[in-house]
Amino acid sequence: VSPRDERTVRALGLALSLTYGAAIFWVYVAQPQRVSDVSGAVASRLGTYQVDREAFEAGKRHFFDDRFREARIAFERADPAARDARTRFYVAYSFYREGWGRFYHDDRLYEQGLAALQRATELAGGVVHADDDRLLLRTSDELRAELERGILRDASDVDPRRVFDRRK
Amino acid sequence: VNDTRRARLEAVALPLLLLSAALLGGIRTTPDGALVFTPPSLMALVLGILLLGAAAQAGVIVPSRLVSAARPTLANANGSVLLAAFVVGAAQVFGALTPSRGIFTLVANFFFLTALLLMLTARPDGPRFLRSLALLFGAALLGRHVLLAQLAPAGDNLSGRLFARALEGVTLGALGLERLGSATGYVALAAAATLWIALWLAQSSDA
Repeated sequence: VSPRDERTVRALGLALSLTYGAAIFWVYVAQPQRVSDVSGAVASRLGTYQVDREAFEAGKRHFFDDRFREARIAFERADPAARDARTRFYVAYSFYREGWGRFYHDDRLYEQGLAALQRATELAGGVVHADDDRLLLRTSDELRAELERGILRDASDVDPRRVFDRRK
Repeated sequence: VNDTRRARLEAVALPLLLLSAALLGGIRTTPDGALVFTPPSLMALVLGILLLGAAAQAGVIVPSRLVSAARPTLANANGSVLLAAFVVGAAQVFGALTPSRGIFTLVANFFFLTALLLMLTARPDGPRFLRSLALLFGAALLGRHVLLAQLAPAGDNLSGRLFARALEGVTLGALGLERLGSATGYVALAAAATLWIALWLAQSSDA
């Protein structure tokens, strides 16, 4: 065995250790909550991550039938690693529609909607646009404004005209 | 042949095992199954450095044999990575075996500190050091992940939760019981075992 073999082993070992160490550091910074988050993030980096179109369409069907929990289950199945901005946008929208009420809005659902929308905009690197004529709020900015208005406590909360508001 | 074997151990096997211990040692699971990656605390890092000192005295991992002016640059780089991985891996294992809040954090840290200072003073040889360490990790694992876990059950058992709440009330919250997922204990065991195996390999090969 030549000294060259030893050097090769040492160089490969160093490269392997540094790569592994960097991957561990990334995991601690990114804080993935599930194993699917890790695999999804890796697949996304490699450009191989794909949304399950069938589950996504099923989610949309539930969404437009006002079955929001079923919709979110389907969206989570479509995008298990939460890496797709459009799916996250629909998840946020489902929280908005479920939390919307003629007399009051559910703050807890609205906050979950804002969290999902934040994830969507982070993934998109800016504004998310949804190409669907059936949606009245087609960008993440419009949806965010609506969600934030819903959580805000102000005089409009006791304005009787709000019963005529329309869910978007 | 010996040089290549030594290089494989020093540059590949030991760093990968120690980094695996570092990865596993920081993993906690919540009762609903989500993963949380916890970085090492300052106290855990201090304990990791003390363990390195104890391992050096026992001749298991000797820093002067891993990094020195007489060695080539590449070998020194391998040695530095190994030492850094050891400190972080050991710190993460101590973190995994220490309750994260309440009076038991203090108790566990005092227990580890005393045990490591005893090791540093007694200067055991390699096999005795490894036996002491196995005992130390085993006792801490049982304390945190078996006994304390029984006081704060992860499930939704009503009586268990009431008992835990009552215990917290009686002790004015000093216990700081935490509800962790059942997988946490197994991951902590894997982390401690990985670190111990790395040390055993180092001792066997006189690294």
